[in-house]
Amino acid sequence: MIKYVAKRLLISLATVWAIATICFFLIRLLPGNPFIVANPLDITNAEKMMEYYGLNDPVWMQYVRFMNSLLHLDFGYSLAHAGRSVNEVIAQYFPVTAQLAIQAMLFGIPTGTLLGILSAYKRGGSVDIFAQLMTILTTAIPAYVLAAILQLVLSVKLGWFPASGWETQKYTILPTLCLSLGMISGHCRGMRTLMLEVGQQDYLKTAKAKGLSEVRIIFFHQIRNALLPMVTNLGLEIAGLLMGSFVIEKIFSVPGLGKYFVNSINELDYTMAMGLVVFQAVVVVAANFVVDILYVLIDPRVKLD
Amino acid sequence: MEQKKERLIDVKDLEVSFMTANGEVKAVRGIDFQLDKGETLAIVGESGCGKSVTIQTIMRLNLEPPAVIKGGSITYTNSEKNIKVDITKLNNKQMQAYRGKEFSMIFQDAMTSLNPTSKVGRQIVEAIRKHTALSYMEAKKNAIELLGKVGLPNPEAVFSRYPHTMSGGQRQRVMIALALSCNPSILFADEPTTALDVTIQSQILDLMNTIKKERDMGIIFITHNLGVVARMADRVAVMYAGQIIESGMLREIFYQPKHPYTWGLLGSVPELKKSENKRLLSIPGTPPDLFAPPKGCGFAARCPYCMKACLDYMPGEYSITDSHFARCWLLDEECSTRITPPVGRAVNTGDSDDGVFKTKRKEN
Amino acid sequence: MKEKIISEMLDFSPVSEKERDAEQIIRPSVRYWPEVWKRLFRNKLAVLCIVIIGLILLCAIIMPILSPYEFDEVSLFESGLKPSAAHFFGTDASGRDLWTRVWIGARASLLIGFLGALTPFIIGTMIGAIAGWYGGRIDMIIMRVCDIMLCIPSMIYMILILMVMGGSVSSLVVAMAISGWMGSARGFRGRVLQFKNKEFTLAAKTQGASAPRIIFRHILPNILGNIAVGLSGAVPGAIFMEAGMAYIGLGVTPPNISLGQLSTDGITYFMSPTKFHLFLYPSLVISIMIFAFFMFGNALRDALDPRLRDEEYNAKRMRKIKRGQKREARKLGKAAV
Repeated sequence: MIKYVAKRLLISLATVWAIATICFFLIRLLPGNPFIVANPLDITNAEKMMEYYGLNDPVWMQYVRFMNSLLHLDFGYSLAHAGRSVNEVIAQYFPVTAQLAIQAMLFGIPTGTLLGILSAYKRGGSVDIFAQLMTILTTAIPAYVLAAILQLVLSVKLGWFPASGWETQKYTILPTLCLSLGMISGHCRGMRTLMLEVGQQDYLKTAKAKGLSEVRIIFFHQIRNALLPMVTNLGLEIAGLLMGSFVIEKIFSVPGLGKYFVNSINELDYTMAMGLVVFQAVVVVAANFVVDILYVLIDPRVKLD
Repeated sequence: MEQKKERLIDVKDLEVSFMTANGEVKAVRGIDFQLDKGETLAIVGESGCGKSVTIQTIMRLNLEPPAVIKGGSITYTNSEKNIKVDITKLNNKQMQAYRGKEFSMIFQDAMTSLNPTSKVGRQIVEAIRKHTALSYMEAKKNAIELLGKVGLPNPEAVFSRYPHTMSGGQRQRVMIALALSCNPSILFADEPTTALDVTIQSQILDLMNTIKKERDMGIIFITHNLGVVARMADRVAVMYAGQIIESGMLREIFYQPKHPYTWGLLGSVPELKKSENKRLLSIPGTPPDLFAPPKGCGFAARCPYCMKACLDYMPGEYSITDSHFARCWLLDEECSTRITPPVGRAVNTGDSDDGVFKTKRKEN
Repeated sequence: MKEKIISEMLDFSPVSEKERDAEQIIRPSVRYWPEVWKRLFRNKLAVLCIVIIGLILLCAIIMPILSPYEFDEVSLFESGLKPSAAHFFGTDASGRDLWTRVWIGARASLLIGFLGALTPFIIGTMIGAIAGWYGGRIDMIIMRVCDIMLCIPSMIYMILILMVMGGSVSSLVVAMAISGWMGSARGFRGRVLQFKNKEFTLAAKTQGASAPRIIFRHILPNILGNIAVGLSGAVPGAIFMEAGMAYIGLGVTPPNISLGQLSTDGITYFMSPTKFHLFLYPSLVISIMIFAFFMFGNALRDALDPRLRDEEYNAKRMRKIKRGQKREARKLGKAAV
């Protein structure tokens, strides 16, 4: 087990390194001078700033510097906004994004899974039809349109929730709901398929032949086995959530990381963009790492190699 | 000769169909058979002939729908427990009390028949606790005892192992332990050794024979391996296209088969003793489509001795002895065709013990 | 049915081989793909989806040609008009004809949809085939790269590539190819491994067939069904993705437009009583488009694997029977009272 954890950890670190390297070189490919973008009139100053931040040095030197600071968990300072460190931005805005994502997960995963179980149990029933309709809606209508419609109906017309902003807990409800919609339908569909697949397995027949009641067969044999593969997708889902939160944050004016991310790229703010990418990658890789370890603990079939 | 044993299962005129989107599949078309206590009945036939459907209907394991019991009755009697029921009349909830306790089943593929994410011991305990009031610890003790009894070394350790860590033979032993856990009076075995190596097969068959003798259970054994039949069965029922076309005691079927299909089955088994240049028989063609079963004899289209009557009318049952009957027009006293079967002894040629044997046609 | 059989009716004369064979009912051999098409066209929803997709394709091709307006033709006198006979979908703030713009945008979206689904699939299949066929170290390296690339949110690739290449259809497709090939590579590698040691592959090998030939002539046809379903799911996914990217400001850049871009631009007028059409029509067209592709994919899956539909059919009937039993039980209960 320790060996397995160590191996996974090593792979995770390698992944982070690879991502950081790819991002470093890709972002360096971006045309333009960040200081000119920030302040187009002052070209001499921009040249000076380039020199000051070491952006005129050979790329390998910059790379070594970047890696070195990464080792110290220091993402450097923003190029576009003087005096603002990337670490500060993360510390200030990531909690909001994280809260949104975690709330969406806490609501979306159980709801979606439950819906999936119910619609597999009563195929063609009202729950199943509802779930299918929801899947169609969330896959066919772009997320921002759906969010705008919900915003209009639930907050503007009905006045149940504040339309935008991020102040009290009440403000978080609508963004959370919108962010979790896709997740609910994804989990619902996945769980439904898995339930049906497990339903055809021989061991359910054995369970029935033992004389177990239907409820016990479904809970202890079918759902249990159907849930396991769902766990492996969790890591990737977190990546998807971070992405979805960009859109949702923009619609509901949520002060999260998403805005900074897009801005930093538009402003050619190298250090900021890189720091945020690497940070997100670390979050996703860490989530994957945890899921991998978790999966070994809950699924006895996985061999530790 | 043999004393009359207690009757456990009496199946009468059972018909089972599957309703699919493409139409009705008549999987079982009116079969009768009985099983006595301490007896092993082997049901033989090629795949798709309705063997599995039949026994799964007795345990009511088929999903209903698509499966529908169209007619007939299955009477289960257990005088010790004072039970006499018609299984076809029970609903799923009532059936739960019988499954596992009165009947239990061993499946073909022990690999997929055990829940992969649950310890084997737990799966046995689950069955025991369902049907008894034992505590977990008592049930565990029972389960370990059972695991030892089916020949698994170090049963305590086996108890907490997962199915995928065991070999095929070991898993099948676990399945047997599971099936025996509530001391059922009938054990159904659906090709329990087909997926195993020959040596392991032999061990599992020995184990089943031992258990049968010990517990005086009835066993219904499904297989297409005639070698296994010879080793296990007291009586044999040959199924074809959803019907039992011949049924009798083991030696009657093996030495005096009356139905051309049985001849084909027996002729397709290689024999060590006959070293002369005798070719193995094969039965050409494929079984009929049960979406639209033929109106005559199901085997007619493949039968080398096919007559006009075979195509038009379903043959009734002809009893040769009290225990032996077959469904074939060749056995009719008015049928003049004399055929020397390639296996066993001839039909209607009068070489039975008391000169000419009489066949009796049952009213259809 | 059970008539009494009298001996006189029975004819015990042997039959000729021919007569006997006539009796043998052999189900007509069913070929795979024709059967799939038959099932697909029997599904009304699938036919509807095909019609919708066809209509949208047709409109996207001919409508901009037929229209008297250019999609980027600014006309300040006609700004912000509501839908009318002259402008079917009205005009935007700069007086550009929305009808023309929507179909030009649909061209871009369809292109992104098809290419964005196909390119990652083709690249992934190639890489997966190499990994699965050669195995060993090559396989290990490819799969490690896959793992690592899967860890990076696809948004990040998109953003980086769009920034480097600029916002156009081709850069979106490249971005989708780079961020999306891992899935099909993994899947196809698994299939190659699964079929690599099957008898028919070995047979082809012993006859001297080359690796590409075995992979594409012998293995690929076996999984064509899965591929079709996967691809038909990827098309709406790519269109959807483009719309999302457009929303956070990373879609195609003006003057080029896509449906996603149009509906994103329209979202500002979401609550405007006079310019609501700017939001409505692009969003409606893109939603219908994605819906049609999505439902077509589902129908295709059902047609390829009718087992699931059979199951559904049975489940429905089972519930019907149960309901009937309950009703009867209730009736009996009432009668007893």
